[in-house]
Amino acid sequence: MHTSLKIASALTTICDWAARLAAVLLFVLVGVIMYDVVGRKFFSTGSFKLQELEWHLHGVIAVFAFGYAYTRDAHVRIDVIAGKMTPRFRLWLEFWVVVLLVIPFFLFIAWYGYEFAARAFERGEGANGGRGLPHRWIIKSAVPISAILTIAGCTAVALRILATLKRPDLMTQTFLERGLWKR
Amino acid sequence: KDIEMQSIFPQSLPLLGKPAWDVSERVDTLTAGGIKFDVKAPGEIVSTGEVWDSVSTGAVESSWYSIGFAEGVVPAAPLFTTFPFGPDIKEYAAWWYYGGGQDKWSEMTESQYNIKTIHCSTLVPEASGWFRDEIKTLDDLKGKKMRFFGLGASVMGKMGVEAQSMGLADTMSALNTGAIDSAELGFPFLDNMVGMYDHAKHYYFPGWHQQTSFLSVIINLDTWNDLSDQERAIIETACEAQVLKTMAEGEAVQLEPLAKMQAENGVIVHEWPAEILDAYESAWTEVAAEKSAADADFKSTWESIQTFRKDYSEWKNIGYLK
Amino acid sequence: METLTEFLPAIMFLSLIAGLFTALPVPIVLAAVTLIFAIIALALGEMRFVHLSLVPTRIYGGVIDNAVLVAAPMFIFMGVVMEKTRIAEDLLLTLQKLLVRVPGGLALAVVLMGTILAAATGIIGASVVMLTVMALPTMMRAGYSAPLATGTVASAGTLGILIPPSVMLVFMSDLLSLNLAKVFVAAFLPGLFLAAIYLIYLVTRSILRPSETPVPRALTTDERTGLWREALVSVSFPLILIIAVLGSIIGGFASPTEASGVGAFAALFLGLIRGRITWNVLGEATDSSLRTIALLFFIFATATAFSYIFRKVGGDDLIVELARSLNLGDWALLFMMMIMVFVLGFFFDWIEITLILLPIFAPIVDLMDLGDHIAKKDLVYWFTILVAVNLQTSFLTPPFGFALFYMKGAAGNLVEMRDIYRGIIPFVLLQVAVLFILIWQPELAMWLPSKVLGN
Ligand code: NA
Ligand code: NA
Repeated sequence: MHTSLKIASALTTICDWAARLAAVLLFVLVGVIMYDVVGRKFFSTGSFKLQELEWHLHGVIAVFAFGYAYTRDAHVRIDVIAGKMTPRFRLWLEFWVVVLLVIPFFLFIAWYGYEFAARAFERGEGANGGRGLPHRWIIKSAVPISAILTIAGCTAVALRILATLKRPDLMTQTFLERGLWKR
Repeated sequence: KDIEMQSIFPQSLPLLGKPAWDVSERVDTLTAGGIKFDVKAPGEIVSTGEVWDSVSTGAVESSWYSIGFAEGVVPAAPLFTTFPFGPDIKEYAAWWYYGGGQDKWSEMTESQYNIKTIHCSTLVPEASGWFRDEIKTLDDLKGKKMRFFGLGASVMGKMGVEAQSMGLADTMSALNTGAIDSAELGFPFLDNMVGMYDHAKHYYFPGWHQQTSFLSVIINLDTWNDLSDQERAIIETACEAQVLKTMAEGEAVQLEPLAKMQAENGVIVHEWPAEILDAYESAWTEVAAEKSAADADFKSTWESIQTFRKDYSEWKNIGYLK
Repeated sequence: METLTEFLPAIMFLSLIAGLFTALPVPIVLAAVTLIFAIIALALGEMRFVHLSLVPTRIYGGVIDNAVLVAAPMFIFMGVVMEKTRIAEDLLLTLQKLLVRVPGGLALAVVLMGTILAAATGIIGASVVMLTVMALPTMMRAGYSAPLATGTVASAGTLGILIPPSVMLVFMSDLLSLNLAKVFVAAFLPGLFLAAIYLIYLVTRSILRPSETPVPRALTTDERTGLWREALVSVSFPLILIIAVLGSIIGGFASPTEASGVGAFAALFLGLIRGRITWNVLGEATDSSLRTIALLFFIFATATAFSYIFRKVGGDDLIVELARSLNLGDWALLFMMMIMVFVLGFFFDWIEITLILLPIFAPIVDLMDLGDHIAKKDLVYWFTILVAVNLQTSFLTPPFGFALFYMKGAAGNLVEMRDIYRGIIPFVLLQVAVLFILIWQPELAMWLPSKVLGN
């Protein structure tokens, strides 16, 4: 059990770092938009690549924190009738759904997403018109990477659920409370 | 047989989208219900940018498509669908069907991407664009912010124009408020439909960046090979017929909206002065040379077109009244 | 086998609903149900393995390579910064003090606050989260009933998608090739009208059932002096934000999408001026933004997978057939379309609904002619606003309502989903009433554009 908790902790660390990257990119995106808006109006700076960079950054911010958010139980639950289920049953249900369905689902996405990005790499896919950002495989890789991060988050949660169920002495809180920047 | 077809234009747009639904109906009739193209609205299965990739894997069986959108993967693609200072429909069709264009495209894409391409519609020249201010000299263009798409954006870049990449709704709003100075969109019929005259008044012709354009049906090659000889012939013939029909339709429907926009919406139609048009053309020559240097397929296609056009110009000169 | 195939979309649908009620996270349920039915569809030969490869393609094409959605993380970030730098809280506290004598004053303050925030943000997540974090605990402490408090917060927070700027309106304009400026202006009055209806309703309800909205103690003279000055300061900061966002669009600096980044910048800047930006605040702001962004986009990503498999098993044919098979007159058609949007709103998010329905509706609306009721050239704009108001209910209708999700996400265990569901009913009914008024009086939407933009 100690080993599996260590694994869970390592996986959580990976998710945290991905989320921190996305957090920093929030400021970068604000900066890029402001540079584009102000530059276009007053200094005739070019915009084409910047405007593409905007949705590239957005893409990373949008999909990099799925796993992080799951380890913190930030995804919404509809608990209208769930009160009738015992806490243990709910934990077992979540464990099996995550292990049997959700992790395989994201394995599919990771695999096909990898092929998707690999095709872009092999074909040297760039922007239409040749004026945008080249190397589409980089941003397309966000899909499989996000899937792997989600798998990491799901595995960490599953291991912690198991610990909660089997060794309540070691684990009282299935989901972490710790914030993004706290140690 | 049901064949899924992802359209990149909506059914509500005549000439651009509607022909997809028309040709699917025509094929349905000709095959007595044997082949039904199940046409899907833009983005329903995959977004436009990913159509080429998805048809190549076979995840999407076919698409109503403009192969210019494959430019990110096949840099030469615009030369087969529309490019700056390109030919008129007669000349372009002559090159595509009999001058080696179609064969060249098949050679470049069929085995590598597993995609069969059939040109299936044609578009009249687009307008050159909408400007908030009149453009009289080359200097007036410098520093102008213009939403532009495709190869033309590189040409505009050489003219000192700052090309912008924005979505349609953002473009119209930005043009309206002056965040950008200009935008190119379509031909008069289309521009009138989406109300471009609300956002800018100076309407420039001719659309040097996009003379004749082809729209195509692309089909995953495995799906195509599974069809019978008869079915393939029917699809090809229906498309050939539609090329002719849309050519006629496109020419016929521009005048009325153009006159209406001038009379009712205060639109001022301009023709580019020769000086500016010449500058565009020499900028395009530079761009074409750069693209040729960067991509071997672009180079050989560009040479094929140039050679064909040179020979054709002799025939055009003696054959047609001037 | 035949019958199974026929009922597969319906079964898939019901499985989703059943799954949602197990209290597993919503995107986890979406992913699980999607995988089960993908396997069934593979087994039945309804789809092939290669089709699964479209799931990443759709996530990339719909969620990442989407210039319109760039506004979503930016507006959320802006909203959270406003919350963490207490710019929003100041405004709420002041409004609350100003309205202390009015029945249901706190609830009214929330609606007013929601209206002001709506003019600065283009996505509901930002304002729902903000109002939930600030107002919900206050309302509960003040003894407001949980359903009333949650209903007020959720519906006030949702005003942001109707009052411009709005990511949803940009998205719809793009899809229908409409003039965005006209759509924005047309949505403005209906948005304010809806806010006014909420206010009237809340005052009436507070008078009729005072126990739900206890009156707080009166202000001390100390609190009263300087109240107007305080009001001026606390209103001026959000006002500057509105000017930054709407002004950068109207002033020709930014496109509507870029305005979201300008708003986020302005929020950071104002926080700095008030001396409330610290490393701690920035840390909390990014953390909270990312959780909300992940909540939103994890659902988008899994929902796009769900709806693709749903199509593959024949679900969209079901909807399209229904739309086309009914041979109705124009008015009946209009109501039919509105009902479809409303019903789908219970189960899908707005992106999927607009992607499924608008392309089907567009040609129908093109042919529609309602005579003197509305001019032909305005019809598609009016229709778009009707769909927008209608979709606004989809954010609020259980089980699948984004506003409710955001709220639960931000409120944690403070309230139960049951209270949220119960509280939202009267507000949804009010929205439906406003929808009917809009159908009856198209001028409510089309008068302002004709004044502002001419013809
Ligand atoms: Na708004
Ligand atoms: Na809903």
